[in-house]
Amino acid sequence: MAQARPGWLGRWGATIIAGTCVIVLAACAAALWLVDSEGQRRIADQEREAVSVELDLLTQIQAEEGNDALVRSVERHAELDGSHSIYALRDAGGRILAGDLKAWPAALKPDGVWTAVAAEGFHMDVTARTLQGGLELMVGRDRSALEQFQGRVIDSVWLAIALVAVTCLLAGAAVTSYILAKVRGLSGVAERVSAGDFSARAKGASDNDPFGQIAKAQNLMLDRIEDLVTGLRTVTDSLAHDLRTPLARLRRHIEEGLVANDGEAKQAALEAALADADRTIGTFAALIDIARADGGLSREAMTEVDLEALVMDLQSLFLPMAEDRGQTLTVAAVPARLTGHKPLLMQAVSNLVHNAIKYAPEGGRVGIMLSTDGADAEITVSDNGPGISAGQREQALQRFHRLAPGDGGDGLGLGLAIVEACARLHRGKLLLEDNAPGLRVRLLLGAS
Amino acid sequence: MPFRILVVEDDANAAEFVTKGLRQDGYTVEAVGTGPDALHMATAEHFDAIILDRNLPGLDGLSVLRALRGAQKDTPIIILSALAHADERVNGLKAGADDYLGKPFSFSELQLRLDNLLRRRGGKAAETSLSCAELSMDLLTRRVTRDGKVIDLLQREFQILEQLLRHKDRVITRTALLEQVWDYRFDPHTSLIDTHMSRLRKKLDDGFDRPLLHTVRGVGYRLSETP
Repeated sequence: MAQARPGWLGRWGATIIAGTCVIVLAACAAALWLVDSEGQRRIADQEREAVSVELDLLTQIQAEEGNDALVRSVERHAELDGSHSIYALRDAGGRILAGDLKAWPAALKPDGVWTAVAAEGFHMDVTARTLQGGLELMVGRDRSALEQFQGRVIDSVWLAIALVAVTCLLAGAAVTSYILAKVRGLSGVAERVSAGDFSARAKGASDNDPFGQIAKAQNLMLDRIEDLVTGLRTVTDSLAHDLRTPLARLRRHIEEGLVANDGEAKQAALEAALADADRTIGTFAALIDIARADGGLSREAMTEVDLEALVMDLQSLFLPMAEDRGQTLTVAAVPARLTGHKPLLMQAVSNLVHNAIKYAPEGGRVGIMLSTDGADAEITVSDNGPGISAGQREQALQRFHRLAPGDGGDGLGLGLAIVEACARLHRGKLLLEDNAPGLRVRLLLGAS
Repeated sequence: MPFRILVVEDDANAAEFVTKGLRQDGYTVEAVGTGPDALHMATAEHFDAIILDRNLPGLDGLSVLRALRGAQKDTPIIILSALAHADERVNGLKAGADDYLGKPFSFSELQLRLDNLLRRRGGKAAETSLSCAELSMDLLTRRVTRDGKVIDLLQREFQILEQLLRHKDRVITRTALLEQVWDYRFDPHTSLIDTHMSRLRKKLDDGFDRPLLHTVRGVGYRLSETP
């Protein structure tokens, strides 16, 4: 695959993280602005409240104790409150009588409206009102201290946000790279399968996390796909291999019949051609049996099967054949029922018994055994023939493999393949074992 | 009056093969090639049996079958289809077919199935005895004799002989025997049926000059006075 390996996070990861950061920072700024403006408004409200109380108090002092007492009070307030509170009192002629300021701020009108004023080094919010006798009193608050405090708060809040942002960035990068690694693992498997490697499997299928679950599901799906593809491949190979041969033979026999001069030879050629055609049809049927079983299509036709009756029936069917060869054909069966595909089971067990009779010597022994293990069942067919050497057993299961070259060609190779497909359809197994002497074939059938 | 058979088959070659064969057997045969035609013919006219393909233009065979059964038409129907797998057979029988034969098929097997079907439907008078030359079978006492000599048969052998006698002079395939006698539907090993037949032959023909049970090489068996 000529695909460039993505960087540490990849463009996708970086974009996600950057985007998240921008959104988080914007939200923080908005929250900060909200808190700041709300705080300022509350503080200003409180200050104004206090200022109007002071104004009321001074107004009261003038009304009750006269102008001199007012002047003294303003002087005292101005001294005591330092630079935080600013006072100014002037008479009707505009002369300053008391307070922090040397001159009355130009724009200020004694109308009770709050005004921002910068004068004599102060930066303040002030309000003024007219008292008895034309006196005008101004009270204000210097804002510079507040602004300084506010600046410090905002700075530290920004610092906190920066700390959180960096932490988030690192955590986000870690989580994203973890997720990306997992996703790349899964998609890498899918890519390998797409490229034709059907044995690729996702790692971490046993992990107890969501990715483990996905990996497990993916692997199950891949197992199924591999089975189907292998089945398809085998059928295709088989079609090419095992149908071509009988078709070629059929063609030859028809040709022989056409050129033959006497009726007897024509008849013989026709019979041979018919046998070839039947063999081809049989091979077709077997291939379809295997393909349907492997593809799971035969699962729809499963019903409850009485296995005991099935093996008993087959014994009676094969008994004359065994007796003709002087063999004994015995059955040891326990009652067993199982959900299965009856025609395929019949075909499979019949193939096994037929093989056993064929390979057991004259006067030999063939045994059919049916046993159960819980809900599972096992059908064993054994003979005392030559058996199959350990090395050849695996090969014997391969479709179309024939142990004896030049065998009559009535589908022994396919025969075992059908048994194997039958085992798979019933979630079981086909085992070839040494019967010392002879062969023991165990067909394990699982309860579905 | 001969039996009337409707053959529904879109492949002209196959239709001719079946139609010709059945006419030679003395049946009156009508043939149609599409699903809608089949449905029309089967509902408009009387037939003793229908031989029905599955892959048909217009309306598939199973739909024709269901429509006929839905309309209370119980004409015996044999499906003749390239969908020959046992699972497909089950589908066909479930849809209401009386029998199912996979393609490619041997004509003798179709004959046998058609015969059995018409007999089961009471089209032919119930017989109490069957015979071929000096061989006779009493279906009530289950006694078989040849030339007055009693022949002892096992149950399966009796059933095989009954099939052969019912279809005297006709070829019966091994697959058909396995299905009719044992009710098995799988690919039999040729030699398996042959062993049963050779035992039956021994009981029937040993000690007689003229053999009655003939092997038709490559096809099956035939019970007949003439070789």
